[in-house]
Amino acid sequence: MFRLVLARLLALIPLLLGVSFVSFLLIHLAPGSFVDRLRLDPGIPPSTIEALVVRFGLDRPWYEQYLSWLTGAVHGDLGWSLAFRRPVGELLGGAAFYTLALLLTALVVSALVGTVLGLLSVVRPRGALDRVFCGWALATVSVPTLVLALAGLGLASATAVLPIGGGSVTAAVDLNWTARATDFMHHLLLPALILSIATCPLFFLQARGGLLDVLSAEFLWAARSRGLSETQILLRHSLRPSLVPLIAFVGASMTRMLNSALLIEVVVGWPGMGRLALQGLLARDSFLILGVLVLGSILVVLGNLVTDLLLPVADPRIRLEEA
Amino acid sequence: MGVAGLVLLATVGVGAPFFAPYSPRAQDRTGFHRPPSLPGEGCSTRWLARDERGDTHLFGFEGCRVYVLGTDALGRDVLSRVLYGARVSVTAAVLGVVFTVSFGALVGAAAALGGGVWDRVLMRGTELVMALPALYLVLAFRNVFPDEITPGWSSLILVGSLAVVGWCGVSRMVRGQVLSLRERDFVASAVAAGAGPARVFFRHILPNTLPFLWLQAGLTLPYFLLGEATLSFLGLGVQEPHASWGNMLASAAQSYTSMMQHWWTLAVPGGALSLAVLGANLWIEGLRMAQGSRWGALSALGPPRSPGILAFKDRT
Repeated sequence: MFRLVLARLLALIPLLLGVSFVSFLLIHLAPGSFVDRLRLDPGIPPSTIEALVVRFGLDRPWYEQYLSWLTGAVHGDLGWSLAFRRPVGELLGGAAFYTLALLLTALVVSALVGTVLGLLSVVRPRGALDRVFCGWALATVSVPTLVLALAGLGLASATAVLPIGGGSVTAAVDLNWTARATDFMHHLLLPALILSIATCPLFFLQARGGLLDVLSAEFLWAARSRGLSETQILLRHSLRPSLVPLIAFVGASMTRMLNSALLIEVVVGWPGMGRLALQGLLARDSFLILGVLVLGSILVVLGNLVTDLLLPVADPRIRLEEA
Repeated sequence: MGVAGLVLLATVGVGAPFFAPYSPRAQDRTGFHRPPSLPGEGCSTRWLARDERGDTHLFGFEGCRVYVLGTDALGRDVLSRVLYGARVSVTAAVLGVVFTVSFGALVGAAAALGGGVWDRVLMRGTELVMALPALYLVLAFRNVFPDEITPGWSSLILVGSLAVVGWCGVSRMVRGQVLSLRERDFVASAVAAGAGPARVFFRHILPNTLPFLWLQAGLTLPYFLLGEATLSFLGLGVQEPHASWGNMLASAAQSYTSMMQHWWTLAVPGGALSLAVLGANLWIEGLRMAQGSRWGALSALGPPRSPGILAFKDRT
């Protein structure tokens, strides 16, 4: 187990190298840079800009820039955000906290609700409940997250029930920690709700499919012949094996959830990684973009690793091999 | 049903100048944010009407200007803009799907048949792309090109940025399919009958991956529809004054205090996008059912099958 985690984490290193290299190339290929915009401003003396270029090594060839970034990154220094005038690491840390809070809340809510709805609908496949849930899922899956987020934003602003934008009220620094936590939850509610609504039908469909597959298995005949009730068969014998594809699906949908989270963050103004990435891209803030891309891929890979580790919990027959 | 919806979308997109009552850029400076309305007194609807430039439209109005789906913040007809927006979506979707599926299939097949180093390099490459969160990567790719570009180029760049990420999944799936097909008996018999590698691939392996490629095409379709809208929404795709569903949503969402008062500016492009994706999803579900998947979402909506398929239904 420990060795497996270690091996997987080691396999991350070449991947991250590749990711950072590709990202760096992309940023380098992009026309215009942060300092080009400064040059357009007649109020900034050229000597200041030249000093900035020399200080951040922007005049050196691209491979030297990449290598110096890499050396810094290995030592825990992800560079300096020109647009925000703060270290990238600090910016990323804050944003990652918000994105993870959003992702995990939505993940737990939609996985739980999806599984429960799945259970309810396989009690009688093609029954009234099943039809209603499947119709709902198919309709909701088709509504893009973007549209959902805009509708949520509009509703929230029209009814003024939930706060919009930011992760806390402006006066949060003066609050004690319980009030601060409540305030945080209050702000989290809207984006988390939107993300949950967007992902819940996916989990529902997956859970339903998994359960139906298990329900036709032969070991359930044995269970039934022992006189177990249908409820027991459903909850004690079918649910656990059906979780295997569901967990695998969670791992596979990590990038999809990050995509949705980006859109929701941008629309609702949740200060997470997606919003930071867009701001960085629009400002051509190269170190920030690089940091966000690398951190994003770390999240995806870690998400996959965690789901892989969870699989044997749902089905002890699964043995993880050190690939 | 899904296919019918998609065909309708394509027709509307291609024939936008005919179906739209007004030009997508024509502004009515007396009517910003007009709610949807139907022709009232002193106003008649003309079918196949000619406008002042002599172009024929499906319908027009005489003696008044009526906006069936309202007008936006600049007094432009929302219906006309949505119809023109369908054009952009259809172009992006068709170009994107064709490119992604064919390129993905080529790479997948090359990896499977080339084997060895080829296989490893190509598959590591796809792993790398897939490890990055897709939308972040698309944004970074989009960033390589200038922000403001002509509409013709913009759709190409848009599709290109999306496709760079999209082909990986397809190529991995195709690789798996080709690897499993290659071991089947009919391939061995073709080889035994003296068929060369090219003939084996094009005559025996490729046709067998076709149903699977159709499914992949269906799966990438919503990706491009949504991707186009997303990029345009973020201001990185089709720019104003050209109409696209994404930038219509963006301009509708500019002021969220008044968003709900002018709900039609949001609901119409949002609804159009949702319907298009629904059409694609229905098509995918249909394909899946035809290919023998039993538990798709649609299976619950169809007529009940004969009892006995579901083992536990026999219990009574």
